[in-house]
Amino acid sequence: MEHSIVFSHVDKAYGKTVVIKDLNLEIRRGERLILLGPSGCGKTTTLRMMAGFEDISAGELYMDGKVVNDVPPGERNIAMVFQSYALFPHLSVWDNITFGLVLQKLPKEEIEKRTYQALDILHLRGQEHKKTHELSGGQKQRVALCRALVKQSPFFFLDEPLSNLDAQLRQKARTELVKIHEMFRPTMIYVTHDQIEAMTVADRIAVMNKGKVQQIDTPDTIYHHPANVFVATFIGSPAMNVVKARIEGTKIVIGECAVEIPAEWLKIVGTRKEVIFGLRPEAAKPNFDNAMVKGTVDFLENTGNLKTASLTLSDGQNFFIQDSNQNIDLRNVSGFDFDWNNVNLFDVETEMNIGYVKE
Amino acid sequence: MKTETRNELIWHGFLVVAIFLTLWPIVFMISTSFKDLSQVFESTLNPLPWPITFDNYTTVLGNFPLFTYIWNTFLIAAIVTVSKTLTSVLSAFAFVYYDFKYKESLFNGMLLTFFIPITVLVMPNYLMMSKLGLLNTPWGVVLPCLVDGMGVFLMRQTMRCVPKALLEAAILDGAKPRQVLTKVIMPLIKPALLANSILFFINSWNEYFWPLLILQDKDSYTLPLALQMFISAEGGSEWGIAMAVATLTSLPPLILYGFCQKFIINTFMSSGVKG
Repeated sequence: MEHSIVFSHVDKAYGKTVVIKDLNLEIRRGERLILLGPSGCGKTTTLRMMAGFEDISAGELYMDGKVVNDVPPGERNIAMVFQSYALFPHLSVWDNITFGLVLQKLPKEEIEKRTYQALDILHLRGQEHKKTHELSGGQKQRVALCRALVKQSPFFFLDEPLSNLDAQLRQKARTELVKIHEMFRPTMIYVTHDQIEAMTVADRIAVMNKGKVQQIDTPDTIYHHPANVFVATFIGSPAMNVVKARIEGTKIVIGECAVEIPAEWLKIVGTRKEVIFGLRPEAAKPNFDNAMVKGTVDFLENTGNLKTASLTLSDGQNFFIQDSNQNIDLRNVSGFDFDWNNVNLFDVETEMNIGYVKE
Repeated sequence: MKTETRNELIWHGFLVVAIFLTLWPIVFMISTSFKDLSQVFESTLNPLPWPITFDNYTTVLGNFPLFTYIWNTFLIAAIVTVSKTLTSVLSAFAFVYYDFKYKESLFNGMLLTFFIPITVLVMPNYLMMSKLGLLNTPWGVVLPCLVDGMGVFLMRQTMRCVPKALLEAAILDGAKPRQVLTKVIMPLIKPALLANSILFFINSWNEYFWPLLILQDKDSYTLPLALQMFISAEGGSEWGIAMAVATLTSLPPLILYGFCQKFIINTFMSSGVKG
């Protein structure tokens, strides 16, 4: 229970608008948990409830095994990096970083030791006397990180900490973040809408939508076995293909092309007459003469390392296929083949994953 | 002539008139203070008297308890300024930082106070001061001026511009409300705070009507009241002396403003996402 966070049937409402309904979530000690979702999905609200900035309308929030619903933010022992960095413009870098430590009345030597250590880790040595407006965006972000680091709190919250950096800096900052976390291993909760950040940083990802956790699992499982259609189409670029398919006897009909279903999959499909067929673009192998599923090419995209083609299947549904082979020309593709190991089937009604064959 | 140039000419002409109207009374005041009584009537509109006389000033500084009046005025203005600033900051902080029942109604109620004309307040305030036995004392002048709804309003508007994340960052670091106010908000709103205080001070310094009602004893007069002693309704006003006192009266607020001006520089409000 130490340094863990547990949401138990937590609701959050503003007046009559319910933004989070029956949230159950267990965050383990020392893990990097990413709250991922589109804007307005409740991820930031969830983080702010943990930080104590938002009241909890119903249910219990446990930190360290104790209910903290009514514990004020200052007593929760949290370090946090804000999206805007929230650096104090009237203070120097040094005073920003030591702000909390001075309030805690830590001994001077301890404050200096921690601050110099953090400045060294984040390559800010020599910048400590500058005012914050003299810093670049990347430096500001690192100062914010520094201020969180010196607190040495067991809980480390980040609210879209990299969203104001440009793409190159973002990648560097990402690796830096992971490195720092490995050093101290606090329980880290990180809010983002950027799936690349989520995939690269997380031990586990909690995908949220409309105030509910859709799936919480490792990045690998989330990517390869999404729990429902929302997760399947939210993660990946382009997202997983999801097309309606009919079941006819032992065959599945995708875009008017019938494909034999292996025996172990037939059990999973059961008596369903219709399913949603899910396949990642890179798992659809281009075929130039006799494809399992046929389609015609609409347009092509070349991002250098990958070639993407958008196909129209015989029944009019769209399907993306992707290939990293530079020597093929996707223009002449006749359709695609697939391996059943890469398939996800979803229920038409509930849009939930109906299961998969464990290897 | 191009429209732009013509517009510019019109604007400049307008500004020249405005500047003249603003500055002329001041020039007139200063020049009259260097004239003797005969010059005052001979060359009323001449801003450059010759010969210059310092008699008015020697009279004022010699036979006239100027420093008592300065002290009386300063004491009242200082107490009023400190009190108004302090109460404005504290109540604005409460309105911004805390959530409590009837917050909006209370704030609106407070806004209503500055729609009440002073003429309505004079009678009840006077009676109250009289019942309290504070007539003819500086406290009688000060007491009804200790809080200012306008000040609360202005301070609240300023405080609302401080990004919420800054307050939250401070709270998360264990800052108590008092520390949030003194260590984060106050340094950030310092320019507005000072500008506000200067306004409070100058208003109180120049206040004429209310002190006139409360203060009867000449020793307790403030400068604007003392000034009036030289202007008699029946004629025979000592214009030169009156203007010398007026000139000296306007000096302290001017010095105060000059001193504070360097603090009223724009500080950066946002923590600055852009590099």
